[in-house]
Amino acid sequence: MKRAISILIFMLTIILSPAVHAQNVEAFSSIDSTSIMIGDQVTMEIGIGIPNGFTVDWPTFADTLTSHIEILKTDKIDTLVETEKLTLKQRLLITSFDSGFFEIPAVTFNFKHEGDTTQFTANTNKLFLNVYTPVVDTSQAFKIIKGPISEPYTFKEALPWILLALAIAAIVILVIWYLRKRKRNQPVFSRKAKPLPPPHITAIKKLEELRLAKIWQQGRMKLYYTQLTDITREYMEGRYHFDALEMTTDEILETLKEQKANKEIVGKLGASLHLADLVKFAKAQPTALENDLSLSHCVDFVNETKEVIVAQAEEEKDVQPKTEKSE
Amino acid sequence: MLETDIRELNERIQRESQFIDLLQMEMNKVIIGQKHMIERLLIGLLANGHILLEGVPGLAKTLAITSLASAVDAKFSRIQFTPDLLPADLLGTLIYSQKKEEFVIKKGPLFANFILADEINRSPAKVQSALLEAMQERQITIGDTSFKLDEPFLVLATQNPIEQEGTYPLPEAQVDRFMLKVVINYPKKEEEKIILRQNITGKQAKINQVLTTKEIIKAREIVREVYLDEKIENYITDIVFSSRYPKDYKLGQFENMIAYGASPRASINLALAAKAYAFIKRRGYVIPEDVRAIAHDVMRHRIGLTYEAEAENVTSEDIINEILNTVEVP
Repeated sequence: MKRAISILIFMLTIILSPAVHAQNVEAFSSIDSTSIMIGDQVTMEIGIGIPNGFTVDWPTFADTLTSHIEILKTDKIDTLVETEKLTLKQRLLITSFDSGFFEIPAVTFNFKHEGDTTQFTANTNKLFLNVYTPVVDTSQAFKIIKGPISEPYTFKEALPWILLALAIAAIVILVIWYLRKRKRNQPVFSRKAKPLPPPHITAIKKLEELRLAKIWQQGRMKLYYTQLTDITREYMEGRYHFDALEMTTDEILETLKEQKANKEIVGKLGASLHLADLVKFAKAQPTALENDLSLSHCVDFVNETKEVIVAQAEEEKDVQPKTEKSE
Repeated sequence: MLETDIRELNERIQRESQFIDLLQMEMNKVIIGQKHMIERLLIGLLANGHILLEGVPGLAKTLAITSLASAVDAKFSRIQFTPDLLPADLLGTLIYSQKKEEFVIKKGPLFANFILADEINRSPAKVQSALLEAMQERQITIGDTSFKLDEPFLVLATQNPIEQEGTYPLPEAQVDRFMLKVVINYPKKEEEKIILRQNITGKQAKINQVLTTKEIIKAREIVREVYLDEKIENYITDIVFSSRYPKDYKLGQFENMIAYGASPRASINLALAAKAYAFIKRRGYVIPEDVRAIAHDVMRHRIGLTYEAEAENVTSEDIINEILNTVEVP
């Protein structure tokens, strides 16, 4: 009885050992066609079926299988898991540029049981590939070698050139823009200026500030008249758009005449400007009355010549305000 | 209202400047129109500055100067500049006197109050420099002896802008010694008609002497007293500096067109000429109008142009116009 039990244990050990399972491993290879014309491509499939619990060291391929057969493309390994079996497959696109009958050697897979170091191998079957050349009909006349077939340009091919042309055009435009700015003495980058208040608002505000500063009362007559004329001339620049700051008194009065400004007001302003010239350039010391009067004349000039925005009753009916010159 | 000294100066100018009307009246007997030129001659006379007159032939340049000399009781010399003229022909030379058995000095035509250097650019550089040295130093050396020239000493040179062949253009350094370079233009149509009528009768109006050299010297002293405020000084220096550093005065477009700007002589002469102009206008103080009135005549020969300016037909007149339109008036 003991002897029978020992024999049973021995048999079970042999049956359940990995080596026995390795016997169920099947490596295989196939090819779509066994005969191709030189340069044609054919798909070869290699694979291995192993029981679950085994791992395979997949063979790596360079760009050739043999010296006559080249690998053009290698697909990913395809895995098929079944109840007790695992099948791994890979497709290779191969070709040959030599004519003849070639052997594709067997591919060797190494595999082992998980948790075991014992290596097992399985080989695929050998394959054969016949590569033939085109049949040349020597009875026919020679034909002229055809030139390369011209392919139409695709958008992808043209895109870099289009981008290059656009970049060159942009650079040329930038350079022209920069040179123009430089010629006009304008800054290259400038922030958009905030809309300035109307010149008469600024002028009246400054004249009022000048009055409150009580400059002439402190005996600084020259400064008072310099500021008075500067404010008035700045107003003229904004209102009539001529370079009043770069003009002499006579030139300013002449220009105001051409602008058809109110003669009486211009006359009074002229008197003030001439008085200012005397103070500025001839050490004149006007009386207190003359000082006040000069300021009043400038204020009157601004008020009488300012641009008035007429707010019409129709404004509510979306009528745009219109500008009117009050002379 | 005006401070006492300026008011007093104004009154003095009113009194002492009466000769200006008389002088202009006398000159107007023979010179029709050309008010600008006559006014500039007076500025030169009053500011003690020499004048270069430029204009095409026949515009009464020479006549204006001879008329001015005739109206003033002063010694007048006219020198026609030619290519074979020598410095000694202007200055004078040492001549051996057999009677005295020694070298005696023979003074040249430069020993006068008014010198008309007609067509100054027709003589070579050595003659021009002899004249210009006398203009600057106001003295002439013959042999070992130096002679101080009489006051007033005024050189009025003429040159015409055409017929440049065979001429010797004045170098920049020498042109700078002229206080004013006055460009004379053709008379107006009405003025031309009067000139025509006046000349076909064959009668020339006689110019009376209305001014003495003493009066001129006295007037010059008053002109120097004319008040020039610091603001005007700043305006003058701004104008001159803008010709040297145009970019700093928003005149960047002329940066490559000006080879050299106006010299300090321009500032000095702008101030002196503005004072004389104020005097002519019967004022004891200078205003910006005075500076602007004489700016072209003082500066046009003091701004050097580059080839770029010439290629773009930009003249010194254009540059001065733009300077006056850009520099802020005080």
